[in-house]
Amino acid sequence: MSHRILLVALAALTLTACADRAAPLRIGAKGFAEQALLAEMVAALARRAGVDVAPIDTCGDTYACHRKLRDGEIDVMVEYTGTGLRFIGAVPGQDSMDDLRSLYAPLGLRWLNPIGFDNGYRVLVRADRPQRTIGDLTGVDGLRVVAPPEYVRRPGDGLGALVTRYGLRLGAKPLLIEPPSERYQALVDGRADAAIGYATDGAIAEMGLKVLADPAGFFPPYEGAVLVREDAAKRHPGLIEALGALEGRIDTATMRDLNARVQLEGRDAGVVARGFLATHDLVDPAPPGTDRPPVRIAVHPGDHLEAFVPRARRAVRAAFPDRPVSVVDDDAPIDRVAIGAARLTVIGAERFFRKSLRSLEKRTVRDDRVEAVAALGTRVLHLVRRADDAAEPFAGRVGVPPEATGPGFVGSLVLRQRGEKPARRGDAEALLSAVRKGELDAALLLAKAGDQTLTKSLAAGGLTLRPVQGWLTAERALVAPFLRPARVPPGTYAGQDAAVETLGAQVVLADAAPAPAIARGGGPAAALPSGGIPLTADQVDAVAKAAGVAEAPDPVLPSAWGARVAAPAAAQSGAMRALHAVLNVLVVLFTGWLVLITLRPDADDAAS
Amino acid sequence: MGSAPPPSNAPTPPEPDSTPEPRRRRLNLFHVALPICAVVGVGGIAFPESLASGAGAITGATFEALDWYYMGVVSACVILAGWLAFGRYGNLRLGGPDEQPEFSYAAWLSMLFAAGMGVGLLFWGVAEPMMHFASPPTGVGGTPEAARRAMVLTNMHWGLQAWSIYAMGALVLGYFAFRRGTPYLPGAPIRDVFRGRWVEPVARLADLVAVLAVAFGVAGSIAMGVLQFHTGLSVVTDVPAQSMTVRVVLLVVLFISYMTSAATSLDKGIKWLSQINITLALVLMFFVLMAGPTADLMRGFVTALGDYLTELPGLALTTYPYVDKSGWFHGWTLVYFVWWIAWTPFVGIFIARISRGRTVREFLVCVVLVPTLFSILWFAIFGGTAFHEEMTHGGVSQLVNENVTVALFSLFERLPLSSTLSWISLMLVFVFLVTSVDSATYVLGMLTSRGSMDPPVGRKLGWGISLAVLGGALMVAERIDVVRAVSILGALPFTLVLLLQISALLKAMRRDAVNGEGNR
Repeated sequence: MSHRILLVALAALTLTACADRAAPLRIGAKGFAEQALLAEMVAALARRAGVDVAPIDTCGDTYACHRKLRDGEIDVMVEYTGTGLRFIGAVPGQDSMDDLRSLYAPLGLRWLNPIGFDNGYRVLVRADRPQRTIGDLTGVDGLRVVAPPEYVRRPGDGLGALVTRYGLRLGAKPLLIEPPSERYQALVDGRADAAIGYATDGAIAEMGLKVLADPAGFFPPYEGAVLVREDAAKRHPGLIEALGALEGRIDTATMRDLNARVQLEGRDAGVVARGFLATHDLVDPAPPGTDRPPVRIAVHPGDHLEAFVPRARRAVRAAFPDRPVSVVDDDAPIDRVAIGAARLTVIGAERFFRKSLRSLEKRTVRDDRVEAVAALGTRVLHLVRRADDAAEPFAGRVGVPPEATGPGFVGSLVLRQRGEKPARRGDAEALLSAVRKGELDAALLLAKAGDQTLTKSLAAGGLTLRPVQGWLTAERALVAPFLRPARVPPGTYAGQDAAVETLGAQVVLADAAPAPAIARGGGPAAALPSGGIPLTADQVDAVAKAAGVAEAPDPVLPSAWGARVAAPAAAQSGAMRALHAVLNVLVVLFTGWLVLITLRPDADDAAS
Repeated sequence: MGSAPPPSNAPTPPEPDSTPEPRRRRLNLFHVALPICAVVGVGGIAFPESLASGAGAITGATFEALDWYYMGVVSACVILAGWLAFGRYGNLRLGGPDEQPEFSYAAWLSMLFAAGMGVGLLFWGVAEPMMHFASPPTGVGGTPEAARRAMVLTNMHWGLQAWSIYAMGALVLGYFAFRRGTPYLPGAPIRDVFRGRWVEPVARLADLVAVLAVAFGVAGSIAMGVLQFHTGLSVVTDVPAQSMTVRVVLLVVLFISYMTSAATSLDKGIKWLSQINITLALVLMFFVLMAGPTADLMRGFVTALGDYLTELPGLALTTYPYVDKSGWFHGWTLVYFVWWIAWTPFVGIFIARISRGRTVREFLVCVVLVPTLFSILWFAIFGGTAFHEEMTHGGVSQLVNENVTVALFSLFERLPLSSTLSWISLMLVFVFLVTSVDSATYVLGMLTSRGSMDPPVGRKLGWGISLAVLGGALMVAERIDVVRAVSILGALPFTLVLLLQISALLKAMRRDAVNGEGNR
């Protein structure tokens, strides 16, 4: 009996000893990609130093995170120096790291040295706009601004202070959009003239934006640095040293690149963070294959569909929330989707009809290996001539893009139907400068209305946009069913006061078309990868909704819409039904005969 | 031909049909069946579109017209198996009335396990529950109810129906082989029981249909197996994923492996390999059970068992007539059932061979229930781990919907020792493939040599080449619906043969029971 008591006591003692270990490190992160990345890096470095790490606490916005840190609910977070100063009530003149440290020391919080990037607020505009500095925006009367919701409320460096400092004249209340890529999309679409963003946002380069300079020094630096509680540092010796590895490690461009991988491509923040640290030998590399395979979108590089890719990417992310999405260049995007090497493609409607010119017959053949899932927008034909040229729109030498590209195909088709041939092929900038120099009389380009190359070129003066009218006859509509009447709205380009009538073709996001009916039901063999796999109906819905374009895919294209509700039985011909009836009768007769001979008494069998 | 059972002395090995037939007058089955397969194979490689549309049209029309019939036949097999096992024929013995079973219970049960294990369980273990979970035929995907439903559907495809079909096919062959000394030919029971001018042509047709069913079914499995192996290899190593060259190389390697074994007496080596394979598969299963959420998995197993028993009667006969889900049903359930029918002549022979001396009751109960239970356990473990991963971390069901093999490996990645597991399963696939095709050449050789238990090597090699050509044609077609359509081409008419066999069996049993044996 006494032995048992001893054993129980020993066990209890051991258990309590084990329970006395240090509580895990709690890391906090605000609700955006960069914070998630940096928090994962802190976690990985802490683990490497032998510290037990609790799951990362996404504490929301700056206010919530600071409260938690001060109350001790979280131990460490990555904060920005500028924000830190604002939230401690620093007075002007107090803006160095030493000031920061001395202001936070009474709270029991320690700042490590900056990580190396400056994620300050920036004012962004489209790259084709003429403004260079924030001050240049004063020239815009009725300025429309789009900003993150938190920005308008910020003390000291928010929207009100910015407007006052630079003397901007706002036209309306600012648009408030939180997700960065949607905010920038509003800017690209023309719903705002300027956007407030962060210097390290991944979408900046991808969407063709530029940062306006801040000569008045209005925006203070927002350098990222680790902010940690002193008592946590004491509880986990070696933590400060481990986190010190981040000091000076990541510059602004690198941070932007890492952000792009998470924000745009949808890769897992933990995987990207650990991958980055592994390349700098700060942690052990993760075993291969732990990243989820990306969903690939194939795009022909010569098609210049950059204006549509961000929207497509977001739409696909909505349908595949757990998967990263990557865009791959390919010279034959439809082929790639058809064999299953890419899941989706962004193509102009013209690519569905490329085969028609190859056959000797005049009829148009449509490539049904892919089907349109969502419309992304429209590209219109821009016929550009010199401003002083009064000749007919198509007179003289006309240049088009290369044949292998969508715009080039459409351009040559339009000319060929008129009995003409393109005088030259080249990319848009080369053609426009050739027209300006007089080497060509016209350039026929297919681009989105408001395309950046054209905006720049037409703003430089000397060129004008001519209408494309009267081309579309009943016969030509059969050869090029993807072209429909369209117009360039007035004021899209500099000096363009009237609307320009022209032709347009839709740009769509397409997936592999389903194989014939027998495979449509899925089934054990249908899951093996031997060709393109179409999206399911739910994914089609998610993509179409997320693409946010209010038009359906062009009805001349094979479409994923409505195709899923087709009743297979409707197509049964009389012959098929007769066949089915015959088969049914035969098997019933056979079964009846079988039952008869089974039940028949054995006497018949004996006869031989 | 009297109606007395053969004398009950030492068990006589079944003799091949020794009626002398001048070779010139009679069209040898080998000389008919092999050319058919070769022509389809070569034609398929040369004109893949014709093969695709032809096979698709036949299969499609048959499914559209007769799906209800196939479901009825399969369910009838289940009911019949139950009735035979527990009815008055249950005591009939597969052999002489006092004959002792050839193998001990333990050995017999473990060989039944082996018969039930194959490439299919390995790869569909994760994928099928996940696919039904994500896109169920009725209801909303991704919910806990969908998870339970998914298990029931999976078990319906791999459980009682499948094994009842195999059991009936095997029972017929075993009954006639051990009691009447007929060869293992599908037509033999028909010849033995029925009289009339129709019997001989029908029996020969039955043999031909069975040979085609096996050949096409195995060719389909070769094509799918190579594809699966290739994708698995491209996940674990740097081999390119879409390359036809790699697949052809794999097919050639497979061909050399199984031909070597078929041509030489490396049979023992193959048997030994196959036993290692099965052990490894069991080890894999237990590892996943331990490494995964063990308690949840066992809970899932018991629930799956309960759900399966309760929902089976309703599901077993559903053909979704008033809802437009017939696509799903044709794609999954029907294909599985007809696929099992295609493999019945093949698997039936092996099960029959090891079951000498068992009573009908023992035979049916064990052949139907034991592998079914094992399948339910297998899916509960693999599928259950996948459900757990999906519900806690997510990301599994989307992968599965696109690519079955990647899903299996990505599940392994979430467990410890992941690359070891991946390589083990790749190896398992390859060895299972080799052993299956090796056995198939033996069975086909036997079926086309009038049931000879030691078919001439030349015939086996001929079939080996044919299977490779057919499998290659399907692989080259690169369209899975073609593979599926061709692999069940032979099975569609074989269903009628199976029914004839069962009829013959029932008559023979009634005769034998009447003669006093059934009442013991």
